[in-house]
Amino acid sequence: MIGGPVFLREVLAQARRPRTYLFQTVFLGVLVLGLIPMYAQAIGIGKSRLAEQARMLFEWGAYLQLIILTLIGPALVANAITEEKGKNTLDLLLLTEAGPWAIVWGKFCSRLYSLLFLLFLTVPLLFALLTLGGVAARSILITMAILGGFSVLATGLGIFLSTVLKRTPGVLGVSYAVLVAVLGAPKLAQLPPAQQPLVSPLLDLAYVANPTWYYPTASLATEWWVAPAWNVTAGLALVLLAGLALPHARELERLLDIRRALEAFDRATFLLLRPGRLLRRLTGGGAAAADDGPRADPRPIGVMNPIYWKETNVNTVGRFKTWWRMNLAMLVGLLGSYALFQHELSNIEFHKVVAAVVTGFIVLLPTIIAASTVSREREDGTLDLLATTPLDCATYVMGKVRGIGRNIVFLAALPFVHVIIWIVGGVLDPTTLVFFALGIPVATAASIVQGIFVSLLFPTTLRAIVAAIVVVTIEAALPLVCCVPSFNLPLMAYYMVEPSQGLATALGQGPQGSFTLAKLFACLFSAGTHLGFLFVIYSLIRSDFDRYIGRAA
Amino acid sequence: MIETRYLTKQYKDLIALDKLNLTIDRGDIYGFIGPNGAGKTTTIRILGTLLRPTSGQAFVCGYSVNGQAKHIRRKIGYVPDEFGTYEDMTVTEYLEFFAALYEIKGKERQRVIHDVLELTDLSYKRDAQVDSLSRGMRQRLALARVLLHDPDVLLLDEPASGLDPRARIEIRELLKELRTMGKTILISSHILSELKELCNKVGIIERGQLLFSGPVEEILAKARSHDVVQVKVREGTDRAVEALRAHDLVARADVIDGDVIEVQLQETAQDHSLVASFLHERGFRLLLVREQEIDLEDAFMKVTKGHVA
Ligand SMILES: Nc1ncnc2c1ncn2[C@@H]1O[C@H](COP(=O)(O)OP(=O)(O)OP(=O)(O)O)[C@@H](O)[C@H]1O
Ligand SMILES: [Mg+2]
Repeated sequence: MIGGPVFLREVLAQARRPRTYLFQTVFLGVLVLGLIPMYAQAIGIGKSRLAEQARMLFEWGAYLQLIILTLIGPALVANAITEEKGKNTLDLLLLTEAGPWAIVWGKFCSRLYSLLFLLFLTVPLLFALLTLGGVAARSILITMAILGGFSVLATGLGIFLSTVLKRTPGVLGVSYAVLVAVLGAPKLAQLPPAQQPLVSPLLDLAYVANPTWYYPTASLATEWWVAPAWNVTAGLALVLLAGLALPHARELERLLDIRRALEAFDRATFLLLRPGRLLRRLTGGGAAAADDGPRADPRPIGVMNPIYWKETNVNTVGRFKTWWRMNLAMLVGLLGSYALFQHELSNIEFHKVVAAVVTGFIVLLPTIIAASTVSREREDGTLDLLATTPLDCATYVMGKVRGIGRNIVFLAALPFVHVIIWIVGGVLDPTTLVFFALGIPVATAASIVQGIFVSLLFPTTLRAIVAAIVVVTIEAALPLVCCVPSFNLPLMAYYMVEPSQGLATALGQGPQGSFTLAKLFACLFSAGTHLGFLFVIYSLIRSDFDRYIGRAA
Repeated sequence: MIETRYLTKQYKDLIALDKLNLTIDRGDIYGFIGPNGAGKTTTIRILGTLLRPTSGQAFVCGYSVNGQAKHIRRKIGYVPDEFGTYEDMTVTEYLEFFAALYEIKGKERQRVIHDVLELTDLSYKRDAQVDSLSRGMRQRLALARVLLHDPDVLLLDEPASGLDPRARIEIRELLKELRTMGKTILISSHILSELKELCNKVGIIERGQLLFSGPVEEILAKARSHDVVQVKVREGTDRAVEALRAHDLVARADVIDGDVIEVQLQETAQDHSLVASFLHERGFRLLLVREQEIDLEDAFMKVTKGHVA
């Protein structure tokens, strides 16, 4: 048996779970939904353009698959070892004859198997494109190799991180960061175009689908395999490392606990925010230096909503130190992007994309943070304690929304900061600020509430996070399918910076007036639908709140 | 204060509670004992408004768990058998958090927190991190938490499990103090000898059925109904055993450690004095006659017949 007994156990367990099939259905569903508009366009076109459409469809499908694999791959493996550690079953497993490599190998194979299975499901879909012409069978096979290689990397990375890190969300976060870095590395490192496909599976795909983008060097056509090969090698090496690390998982976990380092960082940078104290310390009057740490800031509850207090003060990004750290990271990120794209700064297209990317985070992050709040309490066993208090739905949801809202306030403020800078810089229209102010807060609140809802529905943090990602992905695909762009906040932000010509023409006579009207239309539409959505979700939560948090009515 | 009528809980095809009828009066300290999987936690979670019964009724302080759970929550303090603690929170913050959830405000909140910390001897730990506390302290903190809103009823699921003897004694003393404060307490436990000292009533549950419920003395008496005596003779132990086995009223006679003979009498026997007089008549010289001590463990084993779900 290729994966050994652990593999068998895992595969059997997966096959028995109905959610495995649900998952596969959802995956295919998202893929099909994303492809429908392309098919729709392809209908009623002449034969020669049909081939070109098929090629685009194939390219778009491959990217979509890569994005989905990037999101889902780590989620499938993130808890592989952390869960065993959490339940203290790891020591038991290590005591068996299996040995550490057999354990990680078994887990690796079983999770990779599910991922490759997902990939395999899409093969018929892609081969259907062959019938339209314009796509070679060889391209499809190469695409599968690239995606398969990337799956091996994603799975191996997940297993490794799951072994050395303590918590599943941490594993997820680091995995995503690494995978995104791998995909985007050549662009960021400004490698010569001919080498880019060798490093990044994303650009490798782009090359296969669209070779004319790159300098047609003779070697590249035969070197498509480099990216998948190094992906597979790295993935397997990580599994090997995980096996090595497994017996020392606990020590490693402690070693890699970066809390200490972060706290030292906070202490060092904290004083920057308190110029008064900094001055006193510099002038030697720092007798009260001992209590200077950012930790000295837990606020008493007083008359606060206790849920809000906990969300913003305890073990969350809300504790001042982390809050400060996050803000700093955001600011550095924004300024860094300016430095990176300094030649594009006066181009409105750049600002549209920045607005879309940042608001993308504004949707994704609160949804994920909210999705992990309740389920984490459920896992930690603290939800029972809350459930026996008289806590009611409004207090709970309001506390969470305000708390998470406050924790991400800097993130939510980021598009405003950006817009203000470039209004002053003369690139953007001042009205953009008004539209952002109308649109973004409502959408943020809606994201948090939808995250809470997801969190109440799913029993474990991991499942809740995966579900949150799926929900956000579906929402992002909605405008393509149903022509409801309002639900896609990034797209709305994009249009709020500069509306589509079509809408502008439809709404007004003069070029300037029509643009303002179109922006207003976009933002009101977005705010309105999000408000309605928020109301519907909240009603759903309230109608069955007691059952969701696990108590009798 | 607590009453259940035909309380039934079914998980798929497993009947965890089978028409349970339980009555606990005000001021009772009710010990709830039963083997693993008997249904103790299930009962307590239903009373604590965390589980819905499949059928039947349960009342706490006169409110039904079906539909009036809201009122019950203000009247009870529930300590689960396993519960998490929040990381990165001090003892005082922890209590403040729950006091706020119970809508205790301002000065009153400070006073209540001070009081419960005093009561549970945790004052010196008020600024410690909750997740740095020992298991015993955590258990005391859990009690402090459920005392914040001064509930009439306490539901404690195995509060002493996993504690060392010293910590157990501390918990027991604390519970005795709560008894004097007039609280009604339902406490489930495996450690029967402790319940005996603490409780005035016990209930024995097995496979979801209540086998016995009543005062502690009653169950001890019930267990004692089949008398067991231990005797020791100066010489001829084997012959004495033979003779005893031949006696009509003797159910069983065996040599246990050393030369001590354990004699179990038939239920028809009046009292155990007949053993002594019988042996005396036969010319044996008695060194020892004693009634076997019956404690809650034996009673428990007798009543449950050792079935484990
Ligand atoms: N959520 C559940 N789903 C299915 N069965 C359950 C569930 N919770 C409990 N049970 C079953 O109900 C029965 C009673 O469980 P319960 O936890 O009440 O026992 P207990 O007396 O508290 O045992 P212990 O002494 O081990 O704590 C057990 O057989 C258990 O397996
Ligand atoms: Mg139990």
